[in-house]
Amino acid sequence: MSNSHAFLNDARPTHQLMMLVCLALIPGAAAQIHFLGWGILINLFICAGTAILAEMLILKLRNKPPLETVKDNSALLTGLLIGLAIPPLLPWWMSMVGVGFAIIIAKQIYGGLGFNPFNPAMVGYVLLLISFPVEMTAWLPSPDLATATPNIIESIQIIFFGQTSSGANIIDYQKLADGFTMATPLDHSKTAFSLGNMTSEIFQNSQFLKGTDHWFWINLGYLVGGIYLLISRIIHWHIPVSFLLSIATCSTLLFLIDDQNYLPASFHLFAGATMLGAFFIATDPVTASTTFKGRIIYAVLIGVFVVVIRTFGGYPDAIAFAVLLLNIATPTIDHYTKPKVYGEKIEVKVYD
Amino acid sequence: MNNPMNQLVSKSIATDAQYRIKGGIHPQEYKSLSNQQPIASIQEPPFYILPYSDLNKGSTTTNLEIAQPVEQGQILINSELANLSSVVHSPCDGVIADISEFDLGHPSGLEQPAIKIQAMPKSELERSAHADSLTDQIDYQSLTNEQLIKSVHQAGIVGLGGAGFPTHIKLSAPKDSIHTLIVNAMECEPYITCDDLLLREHPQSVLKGALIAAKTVSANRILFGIEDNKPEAIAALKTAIENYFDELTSTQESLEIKIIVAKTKYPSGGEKQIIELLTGQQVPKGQLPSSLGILVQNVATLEALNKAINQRQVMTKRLVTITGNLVGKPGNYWIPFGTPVSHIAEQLEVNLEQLACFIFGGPLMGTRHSNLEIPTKKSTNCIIFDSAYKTLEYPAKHQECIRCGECELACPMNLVPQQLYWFAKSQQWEALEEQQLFSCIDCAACSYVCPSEIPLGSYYQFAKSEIKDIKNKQIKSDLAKARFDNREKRLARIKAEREEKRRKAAEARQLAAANKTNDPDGKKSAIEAALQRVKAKKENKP
Amino acid sequence: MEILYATAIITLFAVVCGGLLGFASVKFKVEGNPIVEQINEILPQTQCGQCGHPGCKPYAEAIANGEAINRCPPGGEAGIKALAELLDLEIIELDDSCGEEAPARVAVIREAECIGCTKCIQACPVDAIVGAPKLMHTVITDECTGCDLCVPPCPVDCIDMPILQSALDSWKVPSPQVININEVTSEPPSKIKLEGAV
Repeated sequence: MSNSHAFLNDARPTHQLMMLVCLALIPGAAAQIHFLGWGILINLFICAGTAILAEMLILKLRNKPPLETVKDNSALLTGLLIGLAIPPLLPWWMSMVGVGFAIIIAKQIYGGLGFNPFNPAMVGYVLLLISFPVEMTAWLPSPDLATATPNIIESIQIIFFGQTSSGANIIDYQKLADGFTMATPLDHSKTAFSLGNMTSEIFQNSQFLKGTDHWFWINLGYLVGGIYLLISRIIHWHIPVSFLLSIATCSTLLFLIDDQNYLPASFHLFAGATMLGAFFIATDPVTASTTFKGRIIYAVLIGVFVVVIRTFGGYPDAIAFAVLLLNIATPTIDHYTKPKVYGEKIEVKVYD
Repeated sequence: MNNPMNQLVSKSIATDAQYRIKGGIHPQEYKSLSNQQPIASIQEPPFYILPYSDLNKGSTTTNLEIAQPVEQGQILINSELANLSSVVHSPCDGVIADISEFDLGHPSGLEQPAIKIQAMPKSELERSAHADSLTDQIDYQSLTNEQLIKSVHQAGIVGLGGAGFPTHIKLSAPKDSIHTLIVNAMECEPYITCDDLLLREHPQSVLKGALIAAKTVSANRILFGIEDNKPEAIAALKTAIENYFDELTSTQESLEIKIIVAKTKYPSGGEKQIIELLTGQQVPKGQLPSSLGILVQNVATLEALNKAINQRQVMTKRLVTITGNLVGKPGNYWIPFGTPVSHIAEQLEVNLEQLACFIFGGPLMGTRHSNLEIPTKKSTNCIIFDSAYKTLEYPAKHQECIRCGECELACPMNLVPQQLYWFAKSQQWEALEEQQLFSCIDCAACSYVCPSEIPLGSYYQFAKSEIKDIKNKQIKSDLAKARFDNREKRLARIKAEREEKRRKAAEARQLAAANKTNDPDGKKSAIEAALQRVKAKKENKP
Repeated sequence: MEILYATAIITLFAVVCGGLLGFASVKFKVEGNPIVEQINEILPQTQCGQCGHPGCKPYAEAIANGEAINRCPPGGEAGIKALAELLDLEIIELDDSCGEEAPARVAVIREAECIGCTKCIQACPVDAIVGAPKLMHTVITDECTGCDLCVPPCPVDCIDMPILQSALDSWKVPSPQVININEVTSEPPSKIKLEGAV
């Protein structure tokens, strides 16, 4: 053909976008490594490496050139997100199973980047959480609270061999000064509520407060990364803002109704994976809603689910489940939030 | 001269746009490549190629033969007033060299029928009445609407903004149906500066054209829409309008004339977009701007209209921006229609060594070509020779859509290009219509912002073409089915009638046979018949 | 004991549902087979007989009874795809033995040679030929489906079947997905020769 419709493109390419998102994880990841130990760093390497290898393997099986799609950095991002979501000393083969499942089943089987209906990182995390509940809830206390903290060599040994050369295993590192084992603040509060404690009592527990403080800094790190993403227009404000406002509103409503059985918004916003979810997980463009109006509804509903599951549900942290539930709902949300095209009156057909 | 009304009016001639369009992009403008030089002309080419592919819209050639001499301004291809095709005039004196098929740059790469004219300058003495400008001014106010429209048609004027719609049809709106004439001087696409220069150097001509058009459709308001990156053009136009008001006598009615300056954004020059920017209204889906009482015309079209009416000049050339980093002498030039690109490239010192392809139109909505022999057309407003455009086609492989939604933010028609892409890819035609595919104006702003570099516009053109084809086939097949069913009915009816006849005949035979048994030799019935005749006779006798 | 109750309840439920379904199948029975009409809507109505059936409706009925959906050349690939979607079948390639997908044609009678025998008029399934015995016959181009049925009966073989649309008119924008990448290159287009005098 000697003639063709003109084309012009000046957008930041996809692989650059993904890489910048990976880089924006650094502040939060650094905080997490500082407070939860070297295990996090090792997990990041294991997960990122597994993600890339898994993608190359499945692309080979699908008869596509392996390196080409890996270059778009989306597998790397999925690996890093799972690496940050799992506890620091998770056995290496569990991490690999989770990441492998996320890339191969939750992403490539559907057709690869852009085709998956469910957030691959969250699918991998949920698989691990449901299959290995004990190991997946084995969090470590921070150095100033623990009786012993593994250094990097010991972390590697526990992750790969289950115990250090001196015979210590994960339980030894979970012990606090007074002999109790540590959980995340969300975990702790759930257990405390089920034992009949009141909110004010929980907030008097110094370990809880210390833990909350640590997680506050971790979430702040992700918030900084997220604000960078917003400013450089890599993500748009609709999902993070709606999500955070929704969490704040729902938890405040509950707290106003009964401030002894529920936790305040200030806690929820900086606990667990809230900020990570707001800026890095729920904003995954492939699985979020298509239209921008739809994204607001999507994010609001995720926020509602997060508060509901955290408060009334069986699991301490709910980002993964909430996101996956809303991933199912995106086609319907898209259908009902089609924007009004220029010159058209709105007339939405009932979805059948 | 010091009429206080005039002063009031001139203060508010130029205002900022109150409204906004949705979406849009801000590509690099590249306007300074070609807007630093005044308008110029180039030497005439040795031959011209003029298409007559509008034949299927009703044009007729005027008995042309090879080696027949033609004069500048002579009508080569005529058309009826009601047709969508335009009158084509010879751009030069010369002879008809060939009437056959040429590559005219159609996207299919197929050749199209065209006339090739070899230019041969005639001496002044031989020039006859066909030739262009008559110098006597005509007061357009004295012409009736019908005369105006006929003149516009005979001058071959079509929209010069890019679509090439016959102007006389737009001006034939029913009386009093149009109240506002919008003059489109936005020129939002990068590189193109021909409208800008035209306004800088011939603002009075444009204004006069606008007044003629406004009179023809009885509009009472003229709005000039222009982007804020053209300050010189805005100033020149403002002066021209102020002079117009100054020269109005008190007995003449004046229209409201305003310049509305909008922030530079692509695609604010689209017809639907400029209407929204200037009036805040949206053209209802499936309807024309005339349903809002608005008529939109490009500045170049109006300038040509003015020349046609006031100077009796038929349209044989237009201003074209020749630009790009490979052009030795970039700028805006008067180029007659049918000029081969090779001639322009040679005249303006284009560096052909580094040229991979050239663009007709702008880098977003234009077309890329590699054959230098194709001619310019009435709709060609710009030719870009730039080393940045290295390939003729977009790369066949692109990244997958990551559903980021940037395209939705950029779409000026508020569509969801992402969904259009997924449905076009999977060929789900009903879903595409539900997503209003046919509201897409092909501006390509969506593919400009796509991080995966997907050629979105091409997918939509493919989908539109397929859907139209399917609809046409369905109409044909429904018609065939109706005719077939009717034929079956007709045959069945004929059969039934035949059956009926046969049945009746059979019955009659049976009746006759039954009578025969009662009356074997027919005597009884003969006697009866005779008695009947006698009775009848008796009754008839007085 | 509970398991007996459970089994009994489920069985009762099944019997009730079965009864309701049986009642509905009798009370709300639809005359004829609506699927045949839907299939017929998709077929191109040329009534050409290339599928082996005397017309489109008989072929539609055959498809409803299980015949292959790939026997219609005028419908082409698009037709097979539409039928496959309607009936939830696999998309298969056009059956070569029935013909090829070819551009649409129309019949044109060479009037000078026509003898007015009306044989072609009787053959045309959509009554697209106008004429009368011993009078001129002519084809109404807009109504002709290009089915070819008029050509065999003509005793003087005066019917042509030219292609209806030129390549240019029938050109459709190709899908960006199947365009082969034309490795266009940094080589400039070939220099042209400026033509000399006539």
